[in-house]
Amino acid sequence: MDLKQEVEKLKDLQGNIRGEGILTDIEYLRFKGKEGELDKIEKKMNQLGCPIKFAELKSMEWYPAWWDVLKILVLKDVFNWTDKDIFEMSNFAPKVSFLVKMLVKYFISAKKSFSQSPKYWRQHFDFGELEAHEFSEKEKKMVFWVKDYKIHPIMCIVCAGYFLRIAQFVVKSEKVNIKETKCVYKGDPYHEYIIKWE
Amino acid sequence: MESSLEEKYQKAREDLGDLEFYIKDFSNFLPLAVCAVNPLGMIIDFNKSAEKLTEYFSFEIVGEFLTTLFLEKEKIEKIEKEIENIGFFSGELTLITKKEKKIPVSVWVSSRKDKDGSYIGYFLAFSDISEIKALQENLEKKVKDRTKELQERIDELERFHDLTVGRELKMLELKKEIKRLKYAHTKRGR
Repeated sequence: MDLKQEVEKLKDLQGNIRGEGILTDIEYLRFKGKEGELDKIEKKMNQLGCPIKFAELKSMEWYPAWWDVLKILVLKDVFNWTDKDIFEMSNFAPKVSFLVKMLVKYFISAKKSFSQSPKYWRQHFDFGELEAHEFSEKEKKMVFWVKDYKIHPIMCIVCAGYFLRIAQFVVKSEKVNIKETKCVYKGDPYHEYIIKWE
Repeated sequence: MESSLEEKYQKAREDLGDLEFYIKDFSNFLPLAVCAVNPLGMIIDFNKSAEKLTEYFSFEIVGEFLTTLFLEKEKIEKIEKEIENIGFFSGELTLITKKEKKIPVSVWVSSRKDKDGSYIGYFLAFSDISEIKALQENLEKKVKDRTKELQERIDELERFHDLTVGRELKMLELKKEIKRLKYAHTKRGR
């Protein structure tokens, strides 16, 4: 992957993300014992034209969404991570998220969480939209549509990992899984994620 | 002059940032182990003191059920069912650390509600009482030992008492016998 080319495309992106979205992945690096590599990641991002300073980020402050995408691409590049690693990292994120702690009212049951998810999305992004499309207690499934969110294909994996963890917080089951069944990068009008549990 | 909307927005952002730092600092400082639990019984937040006492890192335990941490699983489930209505609970439980060490703890549970009054879970604080328990057990043992020691002394005294009183009675009887014999002898001599 040519990161310079990716940055040129990413810089045109409009929209912002809460600092929390970036900081949770930094916590993941600590969890993986890669804290010492943070300077390297920051330096590489700076060289690519992103003026990020991890130590100065604030959870609730807004930052350009492309910084977050670039951070993930750089992590993938530096650590030679696979999509599975990225999925694992984003699945970890809600565990250390300040927003999750603060917005615990959204995680009181699967149904409540499902209905409140569009609000939760807006706590993280000032663009795109999450639509709580279908919830079935009987079929044990939830369907979400993510609209107007075409920033980079890697974010499909990030969303999947994150959504899954949120579901794991509110579904009393050891077996919860997620699948992206529609994707804007495959010609669909939106991303569709189906979460099922046993 | 009234602040502009942009100034108010900037101020609100700064206040939010300050609040965030305050909450994080306070949570890190708090010497009491505290966790936040959702209505399903799943741990959502875990402070530094809780990490220290349980030996679990926050990211290892967040997302797990609270019952993972305690020996009395049924009691926890009962508390979880009742806490929404009773609002507060305190008692003693046994914490199981990551290294499977069992620690007696005092727990305080307080239900949480959102601004609309809907139940959103509870806070649970716990503190290690193993030293107090050990002290209490030590004290109880000491009291037991002293009681046993005293009982032995009492038994000894009673035996002594029985012995001395028995001898006194015998002496009295003998004195009476001597007196009776003296009287009989005097009478015979006349």
